[in-house]
Amino acid sequence: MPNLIKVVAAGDVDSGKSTLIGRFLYESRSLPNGLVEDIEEECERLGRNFEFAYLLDSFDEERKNELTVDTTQSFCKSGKNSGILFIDVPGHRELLKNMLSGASYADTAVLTIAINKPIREQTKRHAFILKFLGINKIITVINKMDLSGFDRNDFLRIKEQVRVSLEKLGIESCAYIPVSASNGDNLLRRSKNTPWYHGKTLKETISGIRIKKRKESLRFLIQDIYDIAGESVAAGIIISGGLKIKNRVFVLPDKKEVQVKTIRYSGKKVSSATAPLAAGITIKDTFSLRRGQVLSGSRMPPVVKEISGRIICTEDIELNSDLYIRCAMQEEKVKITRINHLWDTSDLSPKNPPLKKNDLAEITLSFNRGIVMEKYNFSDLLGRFVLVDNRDRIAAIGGAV
Amino acid sequence: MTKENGAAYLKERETKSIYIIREAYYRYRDKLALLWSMGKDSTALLHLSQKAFFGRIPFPVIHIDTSFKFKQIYSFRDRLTKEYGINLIIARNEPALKKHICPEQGRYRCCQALKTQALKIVTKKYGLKAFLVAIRRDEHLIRAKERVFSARDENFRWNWQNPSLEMWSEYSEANPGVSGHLRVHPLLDWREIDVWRYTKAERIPILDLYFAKNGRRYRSVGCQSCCQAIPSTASDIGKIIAELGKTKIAERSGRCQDKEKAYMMQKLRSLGYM
Ligand SMILES: Nc1nc2c(ncn2[C@@H]2O[C@H](COP(=O)(O)OP(=O)(O)O)[C@@H](O)[C@H]2O)c(=O)[nH]1
Ligand SMILES: [Mg+2]
Repeated sequence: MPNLIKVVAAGDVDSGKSTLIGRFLYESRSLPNGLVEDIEEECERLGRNFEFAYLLDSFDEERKNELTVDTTQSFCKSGKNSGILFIDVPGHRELLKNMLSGASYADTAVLTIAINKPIREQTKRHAFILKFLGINKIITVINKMDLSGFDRNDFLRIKEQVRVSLEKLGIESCAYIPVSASNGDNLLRRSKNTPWYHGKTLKETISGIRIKKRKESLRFLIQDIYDIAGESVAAGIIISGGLKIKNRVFVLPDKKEVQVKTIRYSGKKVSSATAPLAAGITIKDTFSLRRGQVLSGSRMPPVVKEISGRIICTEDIELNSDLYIRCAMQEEKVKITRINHLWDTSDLSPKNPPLKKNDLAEITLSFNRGIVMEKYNFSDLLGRFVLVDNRDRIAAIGGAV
Repeated sequence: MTKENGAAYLKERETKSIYIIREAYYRYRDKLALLWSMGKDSTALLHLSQKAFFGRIPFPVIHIDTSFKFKQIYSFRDRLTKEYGINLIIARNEPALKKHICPEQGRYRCCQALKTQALKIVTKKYGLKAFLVAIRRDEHLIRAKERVFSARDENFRWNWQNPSLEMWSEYSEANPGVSGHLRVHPLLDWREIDVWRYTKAERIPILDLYFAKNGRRYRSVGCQSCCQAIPSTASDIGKIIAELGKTKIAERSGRCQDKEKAYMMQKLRSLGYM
């Protein structure tokens, strides 16, 4: 599907994220035969009314306990050449890792708010994490409108509350849509229950979102070195730009200029290659290539030995423990030399060290050797990093400011 | 879909999958193997692996032979083994086959013995630690929850309650420990129709069980005893792609294991069945 937009549903526990996706899939006829019947049967067995959320919450335990534990992805065709990939994530604070695993795929987000619940910390935390992940365009749906009799004033009141909260976090929502996820109002079809609402449906809003194209200068990331027919071939992926044989390119972080001798794609030698492509190269010079290096044209990305980074901690971090930074295929030992700011992600109030799971921080990191890193841009492999602890766990995710 | 758009989309998919295959090889080297069922997905995975390493797949390819497979697959297997220059390992649970374990004695028990146990045997014999597996999220509600790198414990169990953090394309957190193994899923983000489009574009050989004969074809190919053909007139890949654009029949609806619903699948998975 060439026009595929990936949408994460975020928001508080029980705001209706899973139901919204389930109902959307159902109405867009994206479900195979028999699945709805299976779920009907299942709901009957558990003595419940029909739950669209079960289309996403497929684990036995998720259904019994009525809560999403792990992230799920579901595809939905939205037009002749377009599709929406919905990503469901858990709302619970304890399940942050599963939320991040899902949200890291997303281009845009639907923030769900239940009309009958005040905006709680968890909503703000999710909104904030989305912003942190570079998801600048979010769509807000005010859900469970049926519970307030589709009342316009209730909608406007909650909308204003949400707008103010988001503004404080520096987030702008490109739409506010009154919906009832379980009944399908304003998801794909305009609802008769909200004659006072003149905006777009959720489907129209999602379809209107355009994703930026990436830049054009050459970035070839070396993954590994293979011995192919007696030659030492640097295998990697071209994430942007292109290269030709005889081109002079720079190897970073070494900043060494080399000339491309051969380019391989699949089993063949080719004369040029452009992104996106998994290719292999050899060079004319006597210089050995290795995993982690980046080939670039004359418009080079920065090579840094120290950065100011913004991170979200996914584990508690002890400052003196061994930490490694991974950025694309680079890995280096790293030290947190300073904590410049530290906040609690729930209400963004400043707090004191140590760094705890779920904290947000601005820190200074220094490395033994220079590494290639672009500025804070999560859609770019070189614009984001993870910190890994000595137990091989991802202790934080982040980007350079 | 315009032709260029479609080609660019497939290139993007291919690049990402090759990236994943190479990451698995970087981490596991001679402890990595590919699971090949001769079906369309794992054959596409085989093809991607060949492209990833510029012509020769540097790790073994395992065929889990339950002996209940379609007869057609054996000649297909042997033909591709030559064409792709594969180092093929055949995994069979001989003691169980001698005891005549079969689907009639219960599918669950049969899968467990002839698939999971057979894989355990070769894992041990060859000291394997990671497998490339061609599952996709859109196959099943449970598979929609998978990670690209997914750990299994020593009993081949999937610890789904405690999945790893998979951030962007950083897959390193999945850790099978000393006694477990890792499943790597390079096609996880692909859809059924993507696999067919890629198979067509790349002219990947395909079992003719997938093509309609006398008004029926197989949409998913596993053990003969547990797979049923669906009504179809799609006699080539182009027609299959057109059919998929319209159908509302679930891909694995012909599979008996899946008929036993989501819980069954979860149970099989958590017990190590692929
Ligand atoms: N009345 C009403 N209930 C809803 C609506 N949407 C979801 N729910 C219910 O709210 C509960 C939580 O929904 P769920 O989708 O699991 O929320 P999640 O935790 O955000 O994924 C379930 O019992 C749903 O049936 C709605 O539009 N109206
Ligand atoms: Mg949910």
